[in-house]
Amino acid sequence: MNLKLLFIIILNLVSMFMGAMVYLNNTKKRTNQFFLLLVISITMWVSTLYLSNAATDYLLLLNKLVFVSSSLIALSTVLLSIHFPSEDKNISINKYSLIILPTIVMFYLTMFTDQIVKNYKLVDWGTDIVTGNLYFLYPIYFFPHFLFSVWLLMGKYKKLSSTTEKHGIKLFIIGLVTGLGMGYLTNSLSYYIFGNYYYSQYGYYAVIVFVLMAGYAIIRHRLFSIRLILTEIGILIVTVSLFAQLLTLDNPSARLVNIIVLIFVVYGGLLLIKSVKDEVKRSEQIEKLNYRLEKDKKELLELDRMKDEFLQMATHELNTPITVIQGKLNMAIEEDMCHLDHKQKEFLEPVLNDTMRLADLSKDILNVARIDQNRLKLSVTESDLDSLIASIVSDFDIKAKEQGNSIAYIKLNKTIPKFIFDQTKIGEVISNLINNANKFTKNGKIAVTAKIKDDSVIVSVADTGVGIKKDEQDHLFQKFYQIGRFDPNNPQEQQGSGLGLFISKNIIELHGGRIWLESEEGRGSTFYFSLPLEYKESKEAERLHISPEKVRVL
Amino acid sequence: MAHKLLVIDDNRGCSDLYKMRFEYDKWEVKIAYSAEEALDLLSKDYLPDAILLDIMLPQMQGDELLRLIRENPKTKDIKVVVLTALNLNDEDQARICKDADACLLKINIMPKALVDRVETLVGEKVKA
Repeated sequence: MNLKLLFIIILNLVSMFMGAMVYLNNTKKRTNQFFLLLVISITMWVSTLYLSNAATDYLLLLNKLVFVSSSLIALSTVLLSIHFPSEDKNISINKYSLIILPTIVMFYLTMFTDQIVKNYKLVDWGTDIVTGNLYFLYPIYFFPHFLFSVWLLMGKYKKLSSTTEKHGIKLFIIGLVTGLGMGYLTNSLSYYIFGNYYYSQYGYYAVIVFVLMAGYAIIRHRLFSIRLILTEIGILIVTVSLFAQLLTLDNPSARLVNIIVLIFVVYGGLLLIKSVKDEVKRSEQIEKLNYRLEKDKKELLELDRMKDEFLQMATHELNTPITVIQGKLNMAIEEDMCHLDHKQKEFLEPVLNDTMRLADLSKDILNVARIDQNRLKLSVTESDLDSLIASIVSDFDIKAKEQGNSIAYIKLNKTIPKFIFDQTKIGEVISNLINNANKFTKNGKIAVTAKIKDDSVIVSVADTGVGIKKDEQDHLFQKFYQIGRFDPNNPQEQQGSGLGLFISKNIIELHGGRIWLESEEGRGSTFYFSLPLEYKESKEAERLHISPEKVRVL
Repeated sequence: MAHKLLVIDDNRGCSDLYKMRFEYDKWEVKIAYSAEEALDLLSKDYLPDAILLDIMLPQMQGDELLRLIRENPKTKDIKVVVLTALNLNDEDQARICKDADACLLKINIMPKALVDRVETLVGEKVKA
């Protein structure tokens, strides 16, 4: 037997074995059926190609069969591409007929006429064909099949979400495309380039590429799910070989050893099969869970987005009437545009105050919802904290004087260098702390300071106001908590939304800082917060897997 | 001569509020309830000194109208104050308001303060 023949036999056996394993895994699945058909077509093509050059009889028939089997390869590739990696149940009988019809025509023209293969001639390497008048139909038939299959498979590859499936299918596609491409080159194009079929004998290499790639995909990436079958067959082959060997042994002690080895192999084999079964099952469960997790995650993100959109629209609808009520009351009471008397103004003032509370609540409610969903966004830039504090303190001067308070910004360092923080949000924090200090202080003092300590800036807002009870200090940063709200002995007029300190705490912590207070009842309060001089993406942002490029956005 | 103000807001409560307040300070005020109405007014050679522009309008949105105002050589220098009831995050605010002279949340600013702000932008107080 020559080496080339041996090589072809082995190639055919491996291909048929692979095809059979896939088919037996699930005989009802179209994908597996058409894979077997493809493998049979390839085997037929390799065999007839070899025989047409090596045999001495039936040469015309063998040459015709080469063309018939390559037509079958084209057809089965298209059918497999339609049903790969999962079955397409929407193909009707009419569509199948349309796909199969050109192959039937080529089969008829090749086998029963001389229009494709007219005759053969003996040449140095074997046989070459004498082409018929309609030979040009052959590349016209084959090439669109090839292109259509590639286009279908590439489209499906792009839609896959699972990485494991993607890797396996990528290898399978590469093997198919390379194998078919090489086959087309050596068996069709070469005729037009060189005028003969000399290079057709190298088409075997195309098959090697396909077999290797498909085989690797099957074993490594569990393509067609046949790892378990391969394990079972492997154990079976070893067991049968040992048993066959046992029957041929005469020596009793050799037989005994063989029996012991056989028992161990069977027992070990069963354990191995169980372990592979469990592993395959676990892998499938994990893959299913991953798929479900991805799907649930997408749904949750969409729900989050819809919730945010709803809140935005709801607060927009609230803000519009609040603007009108607040604006007109302000014009009537503060600007005296309606010339109301004192009693009328006194009557309407609480309405204005509560409308302003409603405005604060509306402004804060969206921020609180975003904090709860971890969607509060920071826009960090290099900013000047000194100027920011000075500007806010200056803005509060008039409001402070209304309470009989004085307010001042005391610089404890010569200059605080510019550093990275969200100017708007930190401005809101400082305003909120000063506003609170002013609310709870009458005829007193409010001092704002900022200093550098180690690698942070510490800002403080101190007042000489009423101070905060120890038992209330623990709740201050909670949502909707207002001092004295739940104390029937000391009822406080409700002011603001009760969300300011909660939002401030979150803003500071998103910057990587800390907020705290020192207070004694009757002796005033000092609120502190720290900001790192070197801005780092916060843990909240890491938790949401936000990329460093989006450091401005959570 | 009195300064001219164009208020573009589909909400009658808000547009009446601003009209009332600005007229109190001797401004001449016209109202457009949609972007299309505003474009129609501006195309008829009505050139206000300032525009108060809402974002949420019936068909064409305020940010798109702002872009058109800035692209037109006749109107590109008009002072535009975007007044919105939408509580935008910083990113959206920067995107929508990049062509505006000021961008304010309606509930954050009282009518008098709004008049002062617009007069500062226009450059001088209206002479009575």
